[in-house]
Amino acid sequence: MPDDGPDLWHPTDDDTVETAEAAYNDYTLLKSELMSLYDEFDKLTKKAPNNRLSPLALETVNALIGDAKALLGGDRYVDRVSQFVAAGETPQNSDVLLVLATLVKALARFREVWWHIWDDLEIT
Amino acid sequence: MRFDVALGLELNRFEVDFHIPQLEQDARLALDPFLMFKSRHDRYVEWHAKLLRYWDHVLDLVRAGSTEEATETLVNPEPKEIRLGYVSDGAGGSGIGREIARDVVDLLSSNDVLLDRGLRHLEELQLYAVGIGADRLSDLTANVLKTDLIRYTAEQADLWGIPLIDDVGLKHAWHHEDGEWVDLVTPLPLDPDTGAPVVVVPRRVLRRLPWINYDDFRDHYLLGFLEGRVSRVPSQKRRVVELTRADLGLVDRYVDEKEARAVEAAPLDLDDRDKSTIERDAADLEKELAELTSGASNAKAYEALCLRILNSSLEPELIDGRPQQRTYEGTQIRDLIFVNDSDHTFWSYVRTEHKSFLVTFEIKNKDKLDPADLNQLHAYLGDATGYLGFLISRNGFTATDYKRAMTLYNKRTPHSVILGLSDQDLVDLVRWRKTPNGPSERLREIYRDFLTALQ
Repeated sequence: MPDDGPDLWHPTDDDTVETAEAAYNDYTLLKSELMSLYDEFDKLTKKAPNNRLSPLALETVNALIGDAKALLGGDRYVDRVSQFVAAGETPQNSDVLLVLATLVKALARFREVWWHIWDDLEIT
Repeated sequence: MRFDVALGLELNRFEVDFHIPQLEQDARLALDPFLMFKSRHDRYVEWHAKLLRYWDHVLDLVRAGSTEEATETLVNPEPKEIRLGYVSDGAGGSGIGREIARDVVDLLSSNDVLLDRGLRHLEELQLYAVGIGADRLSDLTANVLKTDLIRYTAEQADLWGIPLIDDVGLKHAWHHEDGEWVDLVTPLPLDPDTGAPVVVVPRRVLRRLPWINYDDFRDHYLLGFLEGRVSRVPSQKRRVVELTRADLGLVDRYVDEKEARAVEAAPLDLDDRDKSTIERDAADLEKELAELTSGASNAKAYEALCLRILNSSLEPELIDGRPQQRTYEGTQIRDLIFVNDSDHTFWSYVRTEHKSFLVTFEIKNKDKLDPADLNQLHAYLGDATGYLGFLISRNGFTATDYKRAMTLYNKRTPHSVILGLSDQDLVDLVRWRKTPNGPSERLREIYRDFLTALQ
């Protein structure tokens, strides 16, 4: 996903089918990964909210946050989210869940913006 | 009376690298060789090596059959000038006398296994010899390292304006090259009332009890190691020593466990201030900062004040802070260099990620920084100094300075992280002493903010 791509929050009639298709593909891919991680951290947080992530888990979470910001950047709440900087202490499960929840909500808003276009273009 | 008060200096005991002794009463503290063993600081690594070399010398004498000389080598008095010990009242214990020394030599002479393989840690002596406990171990450590402690005392005296008196006589210091006890004549501070010499020790190597100690061994480990051979831990040390001498593996396993948990072996945090005392100290420092005007004429005074504040907030994580003067493109630069010997997660990370075994705090007694100030620090940071530096100025970074630091970060690999601290940040660090996580956590936040802003 491009870092500084077009503003996908305000699709216009000038947007091409290719743009809509790319947005859809990125959306479905991100949704699949994001929901999977969200479910995982939902469970982990219920079990051990204060437990800290392993370095590998943090890398995975940060990569996902990077992907999400690339697609969803421009949304006020997504723009406030950053990748975690461990600096010797990885974040707790509950912190990660909070950030993932913000991204899940933003992804739902993104779908609302595009849904009719994808439907009209029979992309779904 | 406290030593500094007697000298009319009135140092804050948290603002210096050394333990300020009480002149009439020994502090119930011990020099812990294990803290030297686990240290990353060249000085303490060398001190630990010297302790082991001393012990090897004793073993060599016993192996050669020179038991009388070995005994003399072990005999050493209480080093009164250090003012550490466990006597209930006043100053002055007994050191290692001839009887105890002979007991240790007899042990070595009669135990080939122990004689052959020696000790991994001098502290193990407590577990093999009835007469040697934490206090005598600390005394022995101090005597063996006395010349180094004298050098350290002279450095600290120079840093804090403690008067040194020439030609002070001091007994019983181990001469590492000649392998014998010698008496010294050296410049040292004196107790102004009694004229007795004073030698100070770094806070970093002090604990209430050594990490490896007899009580810990007996109370928490011994029964587990005995594997059902006895149902309860013997209460008499003589009986415990019989067991360890018969089965050196008991001590080996204990020491293995203690080494495995080395990260937990922390120096005593002497900061027992309550919240109101910390707040009072912070307010005092805030007032001192406010009264010190910016400008080159106060550069040295500002640097001295920053050193006190950083010691007060960051010891024992960052230790041995000292001023350094250097010149960069014709400009005189003053900074403070600290040794990062910490096991705190942030400082461990910094040591690994930015090669910051040393941490530089560059001091600028000015209200507004120039781009050149950041450039100078950026140029200075490198493999030798580490790639994390703090730039202290009266008002900290402006938005432009912050952007400059970000540009410099991206300029090269490895990246250099320059973090700005203001007077207010410094005082806040002292106030963070009141929180469970301490001032290092505040610096981690500042570091995270910078790295996050780079995203």
